[in-house]
Amino acid sequence: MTAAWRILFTALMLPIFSACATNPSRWVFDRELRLPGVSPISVAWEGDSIWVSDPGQGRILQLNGEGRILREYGSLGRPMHLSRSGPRIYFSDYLSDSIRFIQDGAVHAVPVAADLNAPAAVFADGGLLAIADFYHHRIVLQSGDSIRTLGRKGHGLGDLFYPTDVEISDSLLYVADAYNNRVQVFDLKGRALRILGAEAGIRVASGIGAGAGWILAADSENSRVICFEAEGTRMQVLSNGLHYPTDITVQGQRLLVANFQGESLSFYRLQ
Amino acid sequence: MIGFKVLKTGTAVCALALGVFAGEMDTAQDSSRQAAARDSGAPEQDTSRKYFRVRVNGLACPFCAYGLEKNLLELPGIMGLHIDLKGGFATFHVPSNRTPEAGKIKKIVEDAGFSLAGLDHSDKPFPADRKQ
Repeated sequence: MTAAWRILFTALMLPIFSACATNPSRWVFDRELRLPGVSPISVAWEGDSIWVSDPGQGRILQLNGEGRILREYGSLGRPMHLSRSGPRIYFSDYLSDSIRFIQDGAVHAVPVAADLNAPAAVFADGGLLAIADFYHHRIVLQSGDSIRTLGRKGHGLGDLFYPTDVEISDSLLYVADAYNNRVQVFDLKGRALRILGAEAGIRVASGIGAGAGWILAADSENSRVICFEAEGTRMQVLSNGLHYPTDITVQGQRLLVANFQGESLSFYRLQ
Repeated sequence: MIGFKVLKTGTAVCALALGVFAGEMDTAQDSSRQAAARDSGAPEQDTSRKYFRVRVNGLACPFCAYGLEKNLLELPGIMGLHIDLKGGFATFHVPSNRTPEAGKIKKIVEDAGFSLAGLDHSDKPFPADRKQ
């Protein structure tokens, strides 16, 4: 096979044999776990247990793999996206414009030296916090006493329009740029690097998951999750068992999706 | 200004803590004067209320819907706020002497990222209000 044919073959077969996480595997639907009365907007793994935020009921739940409630934390306002960092489960509260975390059975406040308006998500990475400041159309980065902001209201590269989720992976910051219908990638100095999903027909980018070389975006209005490789090539579209998904999280070979309208969680696994 | 905001947010959070909502987005606010009157057994001084139903386009998005809730809670005297994501509307009531202007409600809806599909008001509760 000549080099030219090899390149052409690779280009044609890549979408078929690649997945978000491990080439050449693909995500396959495993099961859907019904949670009647729970409208999960975000999920996080902790070993075999699952953390779920249920803003409609003002609570965060810790569940086992079968959906049994292990612990319930209530009266939390409107808890939105979750982020696990070591033993802490971080969350943002839309109503009180605050960031808090759960650790050892107690809820703790996180001082934030910025004026927030409806924080939709927080991502904690060691001492660094990234906050999706929904109505200010920006990301707030806090590290110790240092505060920086990324983005401004708009539709171009570097602009944001109602950001709903944020994650950091490999020194890159990924934003679910909800009503720009895309994912945007920044470096930690605040430079906008690229846009993912601009041609993917995303209607509302509600949540993201990011890892080494892959990005998952929840396209809630289309009831699907789109897998991209790092440069933005669309690798796989997941739709089985999804009902208005708003968040995704990956642990090893397992992928978990929060179905806000479906009152359920959907599990995928690598095959 | 910050203190004012925290006070109002605290009111909302307390209302949530009382478990006023069930399954969907319900929030209730009550003035301390009314609560005090009720506790003492004295009749509330102002029982006349104006009921509102705000119909908006695209309310299914929870990030926007909870944002609308947050912004509506800024209305003076608002009580019994209920947001129906599936129905695409919000209902609430206010004392008659604190009735907000339609333009103010429209601005709140637009600031929350929606367009206003319709605004109804009545002297009687709308269906979603009756459980309040």
